[in-house]
Amino acid sequence: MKRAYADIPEGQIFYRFEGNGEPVLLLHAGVTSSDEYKKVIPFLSKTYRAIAPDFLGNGDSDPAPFAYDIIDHARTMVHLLDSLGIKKAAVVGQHVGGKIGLEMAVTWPERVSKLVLSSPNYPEAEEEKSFKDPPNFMGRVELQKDGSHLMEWWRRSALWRHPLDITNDRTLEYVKAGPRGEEIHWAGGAYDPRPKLPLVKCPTLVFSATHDPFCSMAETVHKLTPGSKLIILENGPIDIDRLWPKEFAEVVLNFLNDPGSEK
Amino acid sequence: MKKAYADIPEGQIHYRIEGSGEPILLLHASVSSSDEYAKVIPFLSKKYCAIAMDFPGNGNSDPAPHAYTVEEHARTVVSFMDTLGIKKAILVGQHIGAKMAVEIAVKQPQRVSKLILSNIGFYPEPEEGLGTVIDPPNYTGLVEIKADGSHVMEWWRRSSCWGHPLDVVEESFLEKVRAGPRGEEMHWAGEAYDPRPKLPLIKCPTQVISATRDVFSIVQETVHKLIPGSTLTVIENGPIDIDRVWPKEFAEAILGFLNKSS
Repeated sequence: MKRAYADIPEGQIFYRFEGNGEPVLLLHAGVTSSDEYKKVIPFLSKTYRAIAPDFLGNGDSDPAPFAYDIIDHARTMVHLLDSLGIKKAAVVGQHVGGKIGLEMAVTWPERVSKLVLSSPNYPEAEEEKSFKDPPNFMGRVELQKDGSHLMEWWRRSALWRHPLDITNDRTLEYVKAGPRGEEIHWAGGAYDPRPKLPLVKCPTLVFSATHDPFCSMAETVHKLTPGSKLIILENGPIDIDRLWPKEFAEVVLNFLNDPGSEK
Repeated sequence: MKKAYADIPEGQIHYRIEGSGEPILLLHASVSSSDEYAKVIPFLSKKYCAIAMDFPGNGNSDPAPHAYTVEEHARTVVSFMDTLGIKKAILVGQHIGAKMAVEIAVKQPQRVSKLILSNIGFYPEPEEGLGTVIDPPNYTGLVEIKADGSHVMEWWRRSSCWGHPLDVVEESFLEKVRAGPRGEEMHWAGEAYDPRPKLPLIKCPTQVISATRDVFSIVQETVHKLIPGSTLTVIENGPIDIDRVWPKEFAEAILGFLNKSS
């Protein structure tokens, strides 16, 4: 797997890539980066050209010039495809990355061949909340002289009880993104995908894991997306692409390889 | 300024680049990366093609296949120059990065036009009468990742012990998180390398930069005397990590030397 930068009008986009064939664009979740796909890419790259970028303000891409919303991020992804000379790609998105993929599919339908929404979510009315964010999960964290902001980032990373190396990887994402990191979470929170889902024209897979806090929303997202498929992985964790990369890749490959999804 | 990767036989090397003209290659300290030159490059790139690379295992370059010595890091720098098609460059090194620069200037003098050594270090014995280099306690020991996150605070302690502004502390800290537990390997490589036997062998025009608040400032006079015909530039009150903290003064010192020696 190689790492590189693409120059787009908004700045430099960092990305990981491997393989040849039909391009598959892998979009990460909030306050993380293409690093979350590093164990998924080797499975996909046997038959596809896998490309995982970092959104502006996350990972090693340039900062966003201002607090981007979902459509701003989606536009940078179209610019990335332009810069790489890719006309059309399959787009896979995890959490907020799925919202960005959805926006690409609806606003630039000619650029998206297939769509995979991994644990998509939507804002819920207070009374029907099945999932509450851990306390202060998305609040702004300022740098403190005593370093206490680091323990806050460690706390947010350790909440999910992942293996230690993954907790450490997640903490690095917070440090890289810095105090502005949460902007992408806020952009995701402000975006309701439900009005957009009926407009999706390409083959779509809605996919979740039972331990992901957004799992209960997958059914609704599936019903709103015409002709979509739904797959729920029993006992699958949050951050499934980091924790269960093989299972994640198999679900994606089965969908991409399925001639039935070529409509 | 742009960021990019070069594919060298040892892996991918991450670097920053700006400007055109004669190449000036900037080698960072430990545990750090080309980021330490991010504010220096804009001064140099007006006249030169300024390039700063991350050593393997630091910043965004691939990890080193094993704990590299100064000599191995120096070979990586030459591979990097080959990949970019750079035959000869002005080399600038900070702390351990200056040791790599010395190694290249001595082993492959045809690749180095001029040499700028910023606060290159060695640890003198008491009988040498130079004084004592005092590092902060446990500054270069191995830090393992701990379930309670306490390793993060240890990296913060090491980053904040110099009294730098908060943004610089955060930058130094990020370097340690990126490099991870293996990050200190480069410090150990630096400690194992005494540059003194090599310094008299340097043939190209050389500048020795001394920042008076740097821990190694006490040995700069000796370094200067060991390098035939070298220029000593003392930056009064200059801090450790001078390229991060005083980028303008640092760049001006370099440009002053390059203008005079051209």
